[in-house]
Amino acid sequence: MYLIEPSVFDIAKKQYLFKLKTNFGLFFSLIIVQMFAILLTLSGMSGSTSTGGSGFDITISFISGNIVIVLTLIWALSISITMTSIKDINMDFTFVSNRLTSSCSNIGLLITLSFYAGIATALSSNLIRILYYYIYHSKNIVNEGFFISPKYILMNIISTVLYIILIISIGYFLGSLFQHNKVFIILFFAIPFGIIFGLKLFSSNLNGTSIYFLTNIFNFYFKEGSLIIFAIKVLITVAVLFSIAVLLSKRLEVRK
Amino acid sequence: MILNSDSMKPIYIQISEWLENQILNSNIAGDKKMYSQYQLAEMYNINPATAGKGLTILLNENILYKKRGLGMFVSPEAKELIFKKRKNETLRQLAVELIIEGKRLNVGENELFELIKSINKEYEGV
Amino acid sequence: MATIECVNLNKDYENTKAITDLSFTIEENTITGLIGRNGAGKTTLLKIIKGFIKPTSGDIKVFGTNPFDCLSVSANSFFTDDNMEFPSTFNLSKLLEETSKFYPNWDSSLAKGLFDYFGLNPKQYHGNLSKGQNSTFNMIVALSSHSALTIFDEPTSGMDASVRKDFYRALLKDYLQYPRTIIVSSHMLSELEGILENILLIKNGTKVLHLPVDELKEMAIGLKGDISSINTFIENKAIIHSEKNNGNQLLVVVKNDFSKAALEKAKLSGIEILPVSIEDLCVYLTAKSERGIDDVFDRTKRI
Repeated sequence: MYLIEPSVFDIAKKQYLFKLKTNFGLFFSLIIVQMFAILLTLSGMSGSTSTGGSGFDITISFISGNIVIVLTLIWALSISITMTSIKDINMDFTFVSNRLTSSCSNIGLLITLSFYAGIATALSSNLIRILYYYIYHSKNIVNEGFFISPKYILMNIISTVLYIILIISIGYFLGSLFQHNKVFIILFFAIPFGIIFGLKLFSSNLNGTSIYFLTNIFNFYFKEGSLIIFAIKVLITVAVLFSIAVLLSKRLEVRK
Repeated sequence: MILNSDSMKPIYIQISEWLENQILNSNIAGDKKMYSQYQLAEMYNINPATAGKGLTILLNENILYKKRGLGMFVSPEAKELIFKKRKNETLRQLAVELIIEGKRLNVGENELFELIKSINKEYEGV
Repeated sequence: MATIECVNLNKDYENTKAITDLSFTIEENTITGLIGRNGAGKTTLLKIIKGFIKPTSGDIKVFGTNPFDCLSVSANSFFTDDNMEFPSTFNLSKLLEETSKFYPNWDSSLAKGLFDYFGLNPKQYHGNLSKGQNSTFNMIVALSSHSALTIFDEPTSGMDASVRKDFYRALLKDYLQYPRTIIVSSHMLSELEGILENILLIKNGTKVLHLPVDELKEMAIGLKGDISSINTFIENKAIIHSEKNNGNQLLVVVKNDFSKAALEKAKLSGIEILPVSIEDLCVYLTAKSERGIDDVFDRTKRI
């Protein structure tokens, strides 16, 4: 009997298209999350500051897209972790698959979702401004920053997409780690506590070093000025995390 | 024929006996094509390998012959071969059974002969 | 090339050894029945063959390569049991459509024909199917995939008798038209044995035998009579199974290597000669203990 000789690319592509269809709910869930976030933003939860002096009070209310971004990143983290669940992997093996194609199609789906979420998030600030204008009938909105130039929107989209891909790769990496060995779940929660206690206990000695280390990581990503360099940093990190996740999945037993 | 899966006789032997009967009844004449193992498998709801075993028995006894690429055919002398075989084996076996049972029931030789004669008369003309 | 070659396979779990030193070969284009008690290691073996789980030690080759994480083995084989994970967002007809994309040899007219014949509802969802419909649908997918190696693990669970009959018939007919290597693991051996070519019998993770069904049929013989006659006749032969009926009658099952003459002598001394069904033989050969169920109800023997 003539045996079929499949290629990894071919099967991964079929799986990717298959997962786009079966995971339609994920695309929908982002809409729900962002609608909720926009609702929170508009209800004035972003914040306000008040000051006062002799004879006058100033209240500055500001709304920011922070809530939308934060909730979107939380959404991204949770879907990427859950995508490594054994139930989803088992479903791949109902059909034709190996662990490489399974991981690749998952990553393809996650990146697609990242672009989708990134664009949605970036455009949500436009949506917020329009809604705010109509709901609050406020002509007091600062006019200068009201209109966003297309170039700015594009940069916004690119950077948001990169952030989301970064978070997604972290989530997928963590999920794969947990699947590989449940010990890591315990470690994952134990280590931060360990660090905090360690810091508290030895703060007099280590004051500068560990905090310096942590803030350094933070600054490495979040305080990067140039978009291109940021993109390179993110893409390399993402590549490393995804590669490790793929390698971790190679020994996994399925359909047990 | 319905296959008897409870019998002591394996399925492939039951198949070969049925095929022999088909030849004896002239349902398949000499030099005509015999059923293939796939046809038999479909007819009797059995694995083709089992059917094939039944055919192989007949092939080894020269009741069937093989034409390359075309399948199995009934030998011209198949009928005679089957008669001989039946006489030597099957009929003998039936006789053994009869004698054993007779011994068990203390029925003597002469009584057995009478029994056979009377039954033969009953079936006269069949 | 043999489809499956297995040498000294072992699979250990934390507390148990599921498979111990198992060796066998399954040839191309055969239907093999994998038979054994619950917990004998059948499903574990099938999942190793399919490449879902890894052996602890030993060598397994499917289509000449190690099946674990192997895309070519995955593409040319199909495994079905009653735990198939299908996406919950697709209805049955969509499932068939999407599955067909993974299998170049998919037979869509067969799938549709079987689907309609068994009266399944195309708009229904897999999670809502009854046990029997579940097995039926999974069976349809497995058959229609026309994979070179198709593995059925307890395919008839939940099916009523008429659906089972139709399944065996459908399996045979499709196999005749499109021969491939098929393994069926099932408890319904008496129903299944007609379409099997070989039987691989497993007990406690090891091989008891791997023989053609016809040989298995002729392997053992039942002898029934009074205790003394039986014991005289079988002398020191190994007893596969024995049963005492009321009083003096004893039934033993032994290996059938008697000559015709010996058997005729036995009949003369009043011993009845009985056939042993393959199903019964497999039960005897995989018996767990000397005790029978009757011993539970026999007050004198209760422990």
